[in-house]
Amino acid sequence: MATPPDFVAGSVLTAQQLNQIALWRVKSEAIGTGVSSVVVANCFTSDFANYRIVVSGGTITTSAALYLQLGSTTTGYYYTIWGFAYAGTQISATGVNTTNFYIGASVADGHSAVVDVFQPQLAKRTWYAGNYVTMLTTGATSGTLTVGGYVNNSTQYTGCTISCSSGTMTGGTIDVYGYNIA
Amino acid sequence: MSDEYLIQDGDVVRPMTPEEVADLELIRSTMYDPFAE
Repeated sequence: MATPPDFVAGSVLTAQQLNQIALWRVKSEAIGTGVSSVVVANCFTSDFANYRIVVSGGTITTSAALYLQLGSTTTGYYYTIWGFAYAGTQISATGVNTTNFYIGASVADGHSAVVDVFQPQLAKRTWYAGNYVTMLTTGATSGTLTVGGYVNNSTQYTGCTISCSSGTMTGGTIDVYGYNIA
Repeated sequence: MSDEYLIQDGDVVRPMTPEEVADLELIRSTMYDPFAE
């Protein structure tokens, strides 16, 4: 069998072909108007071990960081941030036993966060890794950055919450994809 | 309920409860924010 997608009009897809689809979108939340936080419920299930979360589009009233909380947990998060500002200077920060994951930024032209979240629904530590871009020409912390870390517990999570550090978000989407590694 | 912050829960946008406001303020006061510098 050729590697999908090799479909033509009227194709009947076999289980083998469907099982080769690597990413399934399991949740898509359209962000409403003027919100500080968005709860993404029931996005982590036993169907997938690992997930990709993409926050994009929309706008915010003031430039802000984006955070990710697993379930109702507000302790035990460890993360690092590393990257370069457009000006060429290094940007770095850490969070030690803190309250959320740091995942990205949001500015007037849109939200920016792409993170992979590993084994949130398993009774193991959950870890994440990702990247984001700050779409601002000015500012010592505007640039392209890598983020990652873990939460130090074995809680099995079914959902998460995305929040901003200041201002309010309007529009854009939070898409959650499951990695099909069966 | 608080009218200071709105939270989206599924398709519903509503004011945060006092507990949710407290959680958000805790997060904002403890997390790194490059734009606050």
